[in-house]
Amino acid sequence: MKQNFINYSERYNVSILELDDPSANTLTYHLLKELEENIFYIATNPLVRGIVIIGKGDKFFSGGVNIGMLLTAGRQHNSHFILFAAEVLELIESLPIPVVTVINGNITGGGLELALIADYRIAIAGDYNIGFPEVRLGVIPGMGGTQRLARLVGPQRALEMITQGEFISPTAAKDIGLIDVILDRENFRENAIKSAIDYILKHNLCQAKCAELYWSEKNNILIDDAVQLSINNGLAVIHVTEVANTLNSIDILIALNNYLLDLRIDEEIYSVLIDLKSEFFGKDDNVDFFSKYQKLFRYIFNKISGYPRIVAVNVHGRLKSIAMELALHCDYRFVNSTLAVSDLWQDINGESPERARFYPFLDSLIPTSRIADLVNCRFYKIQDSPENWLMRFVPPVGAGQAIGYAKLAITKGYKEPLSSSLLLERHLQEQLFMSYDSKEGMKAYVEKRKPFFTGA
Amino acid sequence: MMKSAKKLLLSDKYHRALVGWRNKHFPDFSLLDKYWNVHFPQDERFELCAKIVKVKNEKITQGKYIGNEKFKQAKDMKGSMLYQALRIIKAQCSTELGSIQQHVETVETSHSDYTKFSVMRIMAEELRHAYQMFWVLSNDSTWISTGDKKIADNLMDELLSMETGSHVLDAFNIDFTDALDNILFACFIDRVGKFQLTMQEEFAYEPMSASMRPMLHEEAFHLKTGWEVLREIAIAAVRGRSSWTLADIQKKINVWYPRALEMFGSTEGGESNIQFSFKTISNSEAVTNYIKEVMSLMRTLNTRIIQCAHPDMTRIEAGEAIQDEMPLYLPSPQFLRIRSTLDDASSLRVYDTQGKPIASNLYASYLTTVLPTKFLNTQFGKNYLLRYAN
Repeated sequence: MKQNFINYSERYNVSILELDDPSANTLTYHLLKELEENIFYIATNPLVRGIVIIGKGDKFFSGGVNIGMLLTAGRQHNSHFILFAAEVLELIESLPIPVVTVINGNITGGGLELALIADYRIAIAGDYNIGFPEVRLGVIPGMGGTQRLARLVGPQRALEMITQGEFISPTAAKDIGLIDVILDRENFRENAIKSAIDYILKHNLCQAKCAELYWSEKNNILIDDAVQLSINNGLAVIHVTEVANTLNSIDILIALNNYLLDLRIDEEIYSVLIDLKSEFFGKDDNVDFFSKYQKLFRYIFNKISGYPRIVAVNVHGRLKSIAMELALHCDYRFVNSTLAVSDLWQDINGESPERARFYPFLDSLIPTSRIADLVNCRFYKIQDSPENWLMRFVPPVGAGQAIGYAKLAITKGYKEPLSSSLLLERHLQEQLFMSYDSKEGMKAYVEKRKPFFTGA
Repeated sequence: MMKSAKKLLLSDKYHRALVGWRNKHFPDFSLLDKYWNVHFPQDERFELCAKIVKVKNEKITQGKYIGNEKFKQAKDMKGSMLYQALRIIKAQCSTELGSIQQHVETVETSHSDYTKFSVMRIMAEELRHAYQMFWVLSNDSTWISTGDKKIADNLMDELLSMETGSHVLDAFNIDFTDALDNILFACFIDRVGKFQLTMQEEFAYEPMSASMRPMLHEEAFHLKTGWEVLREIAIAAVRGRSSWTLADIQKKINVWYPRALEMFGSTEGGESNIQFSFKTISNSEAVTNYIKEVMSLMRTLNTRIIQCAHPDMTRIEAGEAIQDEMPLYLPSPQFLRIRSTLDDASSLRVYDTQGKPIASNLYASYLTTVLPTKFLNTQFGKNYLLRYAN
């Protein structure tokens, strides 16, 4: 039986997303995954002019992240979940179309963080709870809430709301600018959706997005052949087969994204290899295509760079634009020993005829200052199989968590000002000091033996 | 009905774990086993196993998935539904194990041999109910949460390590102080169990709903034992032949009845349980029905007490007499509650047994007049006083 957590409908080319997971419409991995799927659809559908997000029922817009899930799952899962949730919110926020949230009842924690990404918030009149109770649970809003609230209502009010963890009424929320308009309870749902659509139609000024309808020709069976997953001893291999050459890039990217999502919250995965057997990353692998879907590409590639595990790519032949871009976002690149590495270098250095189309493509995705780094990135030619080589990152040989955090500190911190990156580095180090593996690693060092890491 | 129950054993690992748990927390089980035929000659001998029957309805009868086949595997439940199902199974199992840990403290001091063996039988059957929940968790390898492939194993390990004080529901975190607790617990707390099990017969996850009927069948014995023995003790108290007085019994009712009400959850909640078809009625409806049922039992008990005190009265006359004054009564549903006041700490209020608000600075001394002193000295009692009485 398929469960639906997002009820999708359209009116006047406006997408209406109804959160539906009784009774509090709490945010779980499953709900967010469905939300992400819907956003992918919207992002690639040029007819959609805006998004309305509303909760099902009359009690809750959303009660935030499902605490039962957080209590059931482990620390790593929870931190990956929050990262994923934050990414989905950023993706929605980045769409070039207006987003309106219709607050039909209690809205707390992560539910309010979701509402904060909207351009306009309509709320039902009445006595219900609005706020961030996180500090009462011993945590803080972690999906951008601290930042977006401060930018919306000012740092002082944001500080008061978040540090006190107390709820405010809709009227008080409107007074501080957290809510734009309050509508009567009578026929609220209908009236609020109408108002939301009015707002969207007024504010959607011939959107600049360039999307095409790919969904009608989507072929799920072939996608399953094109992108496959196998897992063995903590190493996941995503196989992109030759079938990919016959399919749309966006479909392959979404399939890759789904696998990465599942892997990212799997606590027993310590390294991922993308085995790229296809020259193209889809039949339409070219610069024009990239420019149309730039935000989606960026969103999905960021999943690789923000994933605190080593992600490697194994290249079997020359790569075209998107395939090369994917390779450059991975942490390690292996190349088939029968292939001359210089062939790949030529693409990047501009020696080959590919240069004209590849170079501007790189420019559009990353700052020019980084191109040099990417050009300097290495393609490893190894005698051993990449799978075996990557086992060095997998417990018991590798301290999986420390390796992942080292990657995060470098890839994320590198882009920030030094003071922020030093803060990030310290924060990650503090977390690692609490891990079992850090104790085991230090103990093994003192005892002059090989450590036996568990990933914990 | 019960003849058709299929008996199943857990995997060796968890079967042995639960037998080990029994040896630690219920060391006199072998006595019950040895004298079962002496005390319960008509009843089927106790076996530590899971019992499964055909479900009453194969389809979901209410809520979001109405009309669909019940979920046969945990992996088919996603989102909040999965975590809520786990929470209910955990709470159910925790109550079973918790009650054994409570009963064992005072069962030895039971006022008769039959009562002692009845309580031991209750303990054994509670253990079987825990075994049943372990079966629900371990028989289905698809209890997998996002990012955690061992949620069932983790939960079972957690349950095995729980002690009085760490159980899910606070009724199971109260130390028993004498054998009257064994009886009042069976009267009030086990009756909540009956309500929950009845509602869970419609549970949307089939292995859970298939488990309920045999558990309910056993729960009936617990309820019968509780009220029969309570009547015996109350009559003995009236006749001056018991070490407990009616006032002692009343003080115990004041402890256990509020805890029973608390077990139904917030009166405004329970909607998602209906939506997911985990339970059939809302918390407020369930608690109303519970109160009605217990009140009726209390009337019958009081009538017997009056008749005993005035042997010349007919049953009807005794029934009329209790209209004016109940020898034993149920305290107000607002008395000694935690859950309802925790939701809104800023407007924290405390009430007396009649439901009248009472000043918090007078509350501690008031409680000493309506609750057993030994209860107030338990860890639970101390914590309650710390939190609610200035």
